[in-house]
Amino acid sequence: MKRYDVAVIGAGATGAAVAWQLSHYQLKVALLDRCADACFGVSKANSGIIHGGFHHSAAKTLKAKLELEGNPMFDDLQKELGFEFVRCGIIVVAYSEEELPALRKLYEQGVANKVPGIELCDRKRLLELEPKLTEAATAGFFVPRGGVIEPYGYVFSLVESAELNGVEFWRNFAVVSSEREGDFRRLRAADGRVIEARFTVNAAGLYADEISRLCGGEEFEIKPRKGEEYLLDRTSAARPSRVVFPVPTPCSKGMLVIPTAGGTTMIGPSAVMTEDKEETGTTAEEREKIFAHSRKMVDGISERDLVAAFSGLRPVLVGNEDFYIARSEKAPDLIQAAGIQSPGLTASPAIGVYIKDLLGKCGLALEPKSEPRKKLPPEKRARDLSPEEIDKLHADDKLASRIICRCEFISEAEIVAAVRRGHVTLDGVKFRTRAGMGRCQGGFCAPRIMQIISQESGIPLEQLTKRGPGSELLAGHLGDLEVK
Amino acid sequence: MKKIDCDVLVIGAGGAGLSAAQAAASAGAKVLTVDREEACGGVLCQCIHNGFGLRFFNAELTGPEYALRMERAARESGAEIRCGETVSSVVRRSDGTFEATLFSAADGVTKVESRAAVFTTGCRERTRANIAVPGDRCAGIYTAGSAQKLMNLNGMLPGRRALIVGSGDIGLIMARRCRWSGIEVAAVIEILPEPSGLPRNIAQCLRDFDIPLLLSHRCRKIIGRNRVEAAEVENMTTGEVMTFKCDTILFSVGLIPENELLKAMGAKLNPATGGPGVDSSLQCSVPGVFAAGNSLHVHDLVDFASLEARRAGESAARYASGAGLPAAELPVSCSRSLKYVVPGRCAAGESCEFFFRPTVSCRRAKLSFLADGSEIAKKMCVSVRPAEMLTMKADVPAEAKNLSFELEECK
Amino acid sequence: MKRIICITCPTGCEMEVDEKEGKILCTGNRCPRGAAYAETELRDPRRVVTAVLRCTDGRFQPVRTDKPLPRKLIAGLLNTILKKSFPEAEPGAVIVSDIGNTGVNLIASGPAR
Repeated sequence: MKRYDVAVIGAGATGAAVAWQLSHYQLKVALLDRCADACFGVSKANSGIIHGGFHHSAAKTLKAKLELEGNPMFDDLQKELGFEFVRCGIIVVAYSEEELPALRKLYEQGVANKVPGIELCDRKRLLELEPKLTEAATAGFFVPRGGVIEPYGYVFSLVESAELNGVEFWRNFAVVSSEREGDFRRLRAADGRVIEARFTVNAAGLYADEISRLCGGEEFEIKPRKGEEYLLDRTSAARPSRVVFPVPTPCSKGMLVIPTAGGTTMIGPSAVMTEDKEETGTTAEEREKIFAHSRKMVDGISERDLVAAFSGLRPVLVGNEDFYIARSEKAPDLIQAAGIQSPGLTASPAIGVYIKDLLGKCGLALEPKSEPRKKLPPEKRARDLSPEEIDKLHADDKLASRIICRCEFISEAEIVAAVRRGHVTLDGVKFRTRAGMGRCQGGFCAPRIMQIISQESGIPLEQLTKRGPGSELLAGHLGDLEVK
Repeated sequence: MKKIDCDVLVIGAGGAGLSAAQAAASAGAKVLTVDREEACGGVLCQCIHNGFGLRFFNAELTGPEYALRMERAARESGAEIRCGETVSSVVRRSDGTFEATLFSAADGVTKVESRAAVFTTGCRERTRANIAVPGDRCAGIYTAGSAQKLMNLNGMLPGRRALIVGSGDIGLIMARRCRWSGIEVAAVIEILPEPSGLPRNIAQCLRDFDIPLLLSHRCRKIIGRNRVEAAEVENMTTGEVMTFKCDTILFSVGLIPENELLKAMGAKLNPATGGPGVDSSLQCSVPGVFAAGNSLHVHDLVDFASLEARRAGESAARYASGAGLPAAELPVSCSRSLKYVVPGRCAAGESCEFFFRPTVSCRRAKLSFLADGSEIAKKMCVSVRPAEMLTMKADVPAEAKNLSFELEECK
Repeated sequence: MKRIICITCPTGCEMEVDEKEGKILCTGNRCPRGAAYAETELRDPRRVVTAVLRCTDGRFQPVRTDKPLPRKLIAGLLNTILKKSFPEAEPGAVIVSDIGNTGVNLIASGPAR
């Protein structure tokens, strides 16, 4: 049986950041996820914002403290890991006189939190910063250090870098039971695989309550709060240059207009408490609300530009709006990291450090590795290279110049690389490469991508899935069914 | 980096592109045709059903048979065809020539210099997301064309029980294709009160198989955790909602002309067609750039796309030779019963083939060509419906200012 | 009286067909092919069948019947050919001859892909 110093349950932003941090030390680390790939849970379906650090009080909440620590860490992380990230800036806009007091309060919280460069704006200044704001934009404030990120690109790069540096990533590992055995904790998967670890980090997102229970930890409840998002074509006239926030409501940061790192315009999210942790359907009601709301914020929003929609579930820790990151008092080998809603993505690098330090305090020896860190090979993204550079690549790899996804300009080499890195689902390849995220939404390229995944991984076509077992893309071969 | 020089570059080697290539080469131009797929024929390769070629070849052919004939004709005329090449950009240089950048596994990056370019880049399908169907995003949701490709080029089954959304020809053909592969078809649903596809396809694809056609119905919600489990369908007349059990949903909800390369060149698009505005030589607002086929406006029959593309190929060859094209400055408009007229500009005194889409359905209608308010030509049309394109060859008067077309229903 | 749609060409004439004293009467057709279609449709309905075959090298080749096949033979034909694999044929070559003694052949209608 495999034995580890630390097992991290959950390969979303939190778990991946922790595993990545720990991969700098002489430790045996396992990263587990119940899904077929990392980042298939909460971290996949969110707004992709690197927040500015003004929504929550740093004096009163852990989440604000970690958000403010995490935000600046993204520049170095991007240099090292190569994910898409743009510090385009955030503007918070009041669209009426009534909203001004709440706006002011938020701004002052930002000042108290010492948000760098935070600037109060009159309408004139707002329009300088973002000309596409509607007539109703009254006043606001600007946070230059806010930005946008491709969350799955970020999480995948953390996991890949961690794996390159010794972390073992266990896919399709849903922990169904756990028991202590001496100094170790056994974690058992549904399919019978077992591992042992001295310490366990519960970064299980929507299922953190269940994992805590299984490990003899604290009793709490995670309830899902669904947020729908709508993506407009990259040619949308509404694409702003900054992330546009409204004045928040008591229950959510509001519906935004986001110039995504991928080039599309995203509007949303909504916020509706639900019961089912696996139900992520979009609805006509919330779509209408989101479009109506975003039309008030920015000019040029059109339903005709709609190219994609999705929804995600926030893991709401009932009774606690802050992050719950602490050593479990009931199970001393367990570190809880639950209720990581927004600004979880922004805070994640800081959460990684925080939990690494917590583990140190728990007695985990943190010896930095003596050998140099293995770097991720530089990405050779056809869309970022000049024709001359691609032509040079072609000399060594013909697939570097065969374009599979025409809408996003993704080469076969990129897709093959993704499959070789363990992304064997269509969604995994999509999130890793962007292939299938364009105008045609995979209409042209999905059959070819499926063939490439099958060829590279050896998985027969009919066993390929969209996102893991149960989501098989095809139902069999011609000839399998009787013609009547 | 590889460099190729030619007179006419044709982008897209489908039913239109191969025709344009053959026409341009026959007119004496050095022609290079490129296509991003590994073989010619475009979407015809996956259209294994018959019904093509009645006008162009006077024969009833399957898509691949049509494509093969077109490819042979293009090659025999001397046009060069390179498949597996993706064009990332076409730039018009200050001297009026064009430089296109191509990417392929075979040759890496290739620069093609040409004196004219013909864009026959076809369409993409409208997706579930484009029409904002709520519900789950599970496996088993396909556009009809994507499913057709998986079945006919990969020999795979998209599902075992399908619901088809949209009664256009692609959806109807796929209904039959499913049944001829053993896939059950729960129904074909159509949001409009009339079917969009040809009556012959209603007969041979639905009635033959007792597949219900539900008009004025829409897909309200997709249900399925990881794979499609059911679809909620709403009867828009009564409000009744029914749930169809299925494991796959095929969306056949319209085609959108693909013109990203043209847009990047600054060509002006016609919002009524989704394609570039063109004159009677099929030249768009960028001199030396021509368009034809589905990317110019959505066709129903590939025969018309091929016929149209001939004109584009001839014009491109003429332009490339320096011979010049007739100045086609006269704007042509159309009345409310017509969605558009292509081309939108023509030359005084020429004979021109015009294409239209009606916005109305009626048994008989009169298509009139008006010059300065007077009818100078007419054509009687039967079985007029938005799903079927109309054509009319008309002589443009030597002297006229306001040219327009009108469609009037006959009682 | 039966209402049928002629499938011979894309026009798809809606016809009314009657059988009286052994003769088939047809109205609504715009050309003689419609009347011919009505005859066969009532007596011996036939369809051109199109499909793809699995080639021995794993690729797929489009096929068609060279003439319309009696409807009652279609399922049997498809079930037989879909379960087998065939060597790649030249477009136009006969793959299965004289299906069910009807004189209708299954031919290749394009290259294998």
